[in-house]
Amino acid sequence: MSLGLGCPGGVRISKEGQIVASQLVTDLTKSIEACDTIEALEGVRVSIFGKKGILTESMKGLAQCSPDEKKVRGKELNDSKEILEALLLERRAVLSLSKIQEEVAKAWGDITLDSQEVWEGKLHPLTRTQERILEFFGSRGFHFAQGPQIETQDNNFTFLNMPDHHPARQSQDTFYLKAINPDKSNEPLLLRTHTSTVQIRQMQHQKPPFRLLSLGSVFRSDYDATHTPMFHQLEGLVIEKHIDMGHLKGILTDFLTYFFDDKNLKIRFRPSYFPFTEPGAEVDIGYSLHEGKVRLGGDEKWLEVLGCGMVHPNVLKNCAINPENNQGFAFGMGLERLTMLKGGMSDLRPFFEGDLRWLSHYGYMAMFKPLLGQGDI
Amino acid sequence: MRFSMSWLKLFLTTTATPEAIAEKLTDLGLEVESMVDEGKEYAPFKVVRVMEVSPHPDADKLNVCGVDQGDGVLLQIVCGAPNVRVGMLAALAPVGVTLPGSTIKMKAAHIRGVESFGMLCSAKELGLGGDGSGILDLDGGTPGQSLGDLDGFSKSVFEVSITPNRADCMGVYGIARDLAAGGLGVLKDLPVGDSEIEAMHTKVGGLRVSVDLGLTPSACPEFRACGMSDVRNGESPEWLKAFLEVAGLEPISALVDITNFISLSFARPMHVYDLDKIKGGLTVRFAAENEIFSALNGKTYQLTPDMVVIADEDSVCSLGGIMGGMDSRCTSETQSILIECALFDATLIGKTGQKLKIISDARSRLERGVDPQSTLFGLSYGVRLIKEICGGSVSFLESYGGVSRAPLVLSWDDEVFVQKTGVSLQEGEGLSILKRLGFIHKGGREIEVPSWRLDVSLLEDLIEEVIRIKGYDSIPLKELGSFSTRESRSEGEAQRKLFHTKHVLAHSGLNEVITYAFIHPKEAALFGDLDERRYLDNPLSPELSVMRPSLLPGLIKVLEKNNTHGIGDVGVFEMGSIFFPREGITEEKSVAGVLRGMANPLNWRGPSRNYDFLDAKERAFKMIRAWDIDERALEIDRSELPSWLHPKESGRIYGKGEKNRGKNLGYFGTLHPQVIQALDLSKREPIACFEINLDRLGRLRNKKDGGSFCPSAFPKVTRDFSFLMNAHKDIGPLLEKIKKVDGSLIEKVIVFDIYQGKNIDSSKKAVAFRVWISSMEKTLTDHEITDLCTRISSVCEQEGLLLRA
Repeated sequence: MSLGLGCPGGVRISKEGQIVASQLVTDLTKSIEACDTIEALEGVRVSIFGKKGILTESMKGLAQCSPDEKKVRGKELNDSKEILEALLLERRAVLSLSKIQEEVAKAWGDITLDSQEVWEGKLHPLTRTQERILEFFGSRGFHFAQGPQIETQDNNFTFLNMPDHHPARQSQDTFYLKAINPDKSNEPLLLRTHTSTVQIRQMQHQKPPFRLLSLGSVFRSDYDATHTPMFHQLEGLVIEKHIDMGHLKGILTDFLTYFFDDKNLKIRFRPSYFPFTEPGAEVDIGYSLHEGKVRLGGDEKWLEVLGCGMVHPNVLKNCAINPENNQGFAFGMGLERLTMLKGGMSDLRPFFEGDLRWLSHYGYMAMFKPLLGQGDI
Repeated sequence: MRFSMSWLKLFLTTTATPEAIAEKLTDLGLEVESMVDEGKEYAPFKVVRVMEVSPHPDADKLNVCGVDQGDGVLLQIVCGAPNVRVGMLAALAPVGVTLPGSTIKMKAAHIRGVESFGMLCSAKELGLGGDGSGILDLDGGTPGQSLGDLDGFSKSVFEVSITPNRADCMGVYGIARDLAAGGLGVLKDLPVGDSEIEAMHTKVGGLRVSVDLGLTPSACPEFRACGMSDVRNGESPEWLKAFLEVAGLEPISALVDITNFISLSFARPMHVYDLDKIKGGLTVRFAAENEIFSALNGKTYQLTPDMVVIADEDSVCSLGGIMGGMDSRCTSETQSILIECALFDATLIGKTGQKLKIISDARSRLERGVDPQSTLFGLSYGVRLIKEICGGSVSFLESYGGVSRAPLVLSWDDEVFVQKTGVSLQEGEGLSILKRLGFIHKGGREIEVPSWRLDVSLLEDLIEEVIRIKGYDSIPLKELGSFSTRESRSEGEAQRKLFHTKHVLAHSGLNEVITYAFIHPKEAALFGDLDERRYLDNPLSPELSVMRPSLLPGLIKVLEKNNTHGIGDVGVFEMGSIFFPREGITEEKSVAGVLRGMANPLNWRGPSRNYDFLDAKERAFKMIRAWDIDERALEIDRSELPSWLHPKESGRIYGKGEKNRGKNLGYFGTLHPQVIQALDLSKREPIACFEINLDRLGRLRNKKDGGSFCPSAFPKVTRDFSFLMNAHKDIGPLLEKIKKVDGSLIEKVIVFDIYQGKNIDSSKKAVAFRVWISSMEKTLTDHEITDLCTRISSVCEQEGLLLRA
């Protein structure tokens, strides 16, 4: 490369009195390549392109050249400028890359450490069960209804076709309160023994057709590994035209298959008795024992999971619904039992003891959105 | 109900295996809880008939026999038993069988040169005891039958759970009837009774028994009594004892055992008195107030006038239909007896049994409903068995009541059956099933309900009978069609919010627990009141006896429980009902949390601190925000704080504005140290807590109005301020005032430091806060910003605060 730079400016001048541009580029290239920090490179850049830089000064010198010379030398200077700029840019890229590499090489992040700065709360497994139930039935046209835990004897028994001194009344180990039913003197209130009370409340206040679902606490005076004085039930009621036992069997089969997430789950319907259903049924699911633990599936053994049936005509009559042209079904199940089967728990009592070790094992993480999303509930 | 295969076979002719019977029972609605086949090991043994016996050519004591296994082909067996003879039925252990109690497998063998394909067994070899000197001489069975199916060998014991409606199945005969209807055999006729009783059953007496029930003869609609003399009340025969043992009853004496056997077989309770211990005549009457009854179970009861008793001149001999008396019971010395077979009102029996807390076999049957046509059969069959086992003769028979009621006739309808069950029927199938169950077809659609089916009163009951015999497996799976509810969704919406709340609280580090709705009275007193209406009438224990006025006591127990496991840093919440003594007692939905210990996990990044009342407040408000409630609609203060909260470190949350004025939504704060002391907690450490009434929150009339989104396009600046203020003064109102200096420019004000301690008067605190300033209209000039800051400072100074630095 040969550059002819004919102007003064601290650049070397040849014997012929000409600036040897190529020598300048060669020298500056050396000093650029000698830079091993971004800071040094910046110093070189200033010495070339700064206000008093070599090239800046040379450019200024052009003013004194003849037009012809200006043309030739101006081009030579511009060429040199481009070359040097490119060199600087390249060197800067190399240096900043090596700087990053150096920093990265120096760094150390201990990936084995944890940084939990806030506690993580777990939700109770029963909540999960309830959400799954609401999700399932909500998307099938069931609407949610709630009922009180403190009930009258009429709602808990009489209207459900269990008149005074019906043997079933005694079999339920009812908790009675000292508080008296305000509408019936001398009759103590009670803690509901089942969520079937919600059926009564619904049917007394609404006219069919309806599909309803209720969840809640119920109470019975009993305490051992599989009984606690308080537990939870799910209650479903469907009163519509043309609803028969086939629909009952269908929806419960679907529900259990969904809940246990097992398409091959064995489900058995067998006749049973509840005063408020006729015909009545109980539903079992198949399981087998493996090293003492319940494993769902198969039909080696059966475990009862719920009670159901066609609503007894007397119950409809008690709620002023004509059984001649209305029929439907009801079902109820214990949420703890479902949860225990799903989660593999063998003892019911810890559900209500608040032991955080148990909860951290069986509980579940909060989600940003609870499950019961899209349903109609 | 517990019974054995051989008991069932007294009433049912069947070839079904115990497994098939167990499966069928469950399908019929008679749920088998367990079925143990103790005779299973005999299943591979066979009944054979000895057809040929000839001496062994090489051994004096052995015989070579040909036995028939039912197929007519003779099998050669070498046998050493002296009692083997042609024509006898014997038990064969075929090749491949293992003898009970041994591990040796039967093999085909050459015995002194003669082939033998198995062994004829002695009682001893079958593990049945005895001396083993001869082979077992079977008195029943057919060649080829499995020994395990033979009475005495089949020891299958069923335990069946009988639903309360099936009083008829509280006896083995009723179970046999259902099985026969279900196609597993043929029901035998009821056993024949005593001919003497049958002949004189209409005799109405008055010699030894009278009935005096005043205006309520329905309390005992039928009473039959039979006197017998010269009976010997010894031990029962083996067969009877064996049945009772299967049922789980202790054999007592022949007389008692016989009545128990009849009760267990035919659901027909009876009672036997020692006639010699009865003074004068027996009267069926109502008890006198406080009359004393000393019962067979060794206990003494005080009776009331609504209870039916059978009493002699001196005392009560029996509590009608529930339990006999101690003084008139039969013993081994008993010689003359009075057998009672009666009906009592089911409701009265239930009431009496409940009141006195007596549970007996008789009560459980009579209160469910005993076949009203069964008194004569019971008495007659009882007398027959007593005569057979104890001897004796009938001395008198007396009967009262027993007016027969018209049988119930229902109308069967195939169409309704299909409509209810979704299962179609063949022509006449429904009627045929009902007939197999003992229902009587009166012609057309008319069906007469048998006397023992007191549970059947509607067409729906008949439908259940038919579908359970047909089998629930026959019901098709159908899908519910689409349905759109006409109901309002508000309850569902409320429910969704409740679940959302749980997730929000769990996100904020709290664990969800569920505790019992009833607590100890001491806790209720500390966290509310001890109104009588809160009490359970029949609590399990004092700890679970009072309906809770607050969720906090249960949650505090959870803290303590975890503390015993070495978990001291606990944040928990619960959502549940709390109760108030209004209109009887009412319940409201609540959510509460308690927090104790470190507010964040031990962490290498920085120091940990303990939970305090502001952590509780933060959770409470986070949850409220999740309900889409505008926080600006809420007010907090320290007024009307409940007694269990620290009066200085707690706040009440209530609604602002006309509609919500004074509506308490809940509280947050620290538990009052006195409460911590009163509860005698393991630690004196402060407990932060909150409790929000969700019913009231749901009724709050201040839903958030989003407005429109219009962010400022101009730069934002911040300025920090630091003040000294009275340590016992809230900062909140000051922040509100500062915001009001210029609502359009001040975006937010946040406290970022509070300092008390060194270099500061102990009655003061240094507060530093940052103000975010921006305008919707322009970039603010330095001058405008300085001016705003001066106005902020002067507001602070007006409040009597000192600008610090």
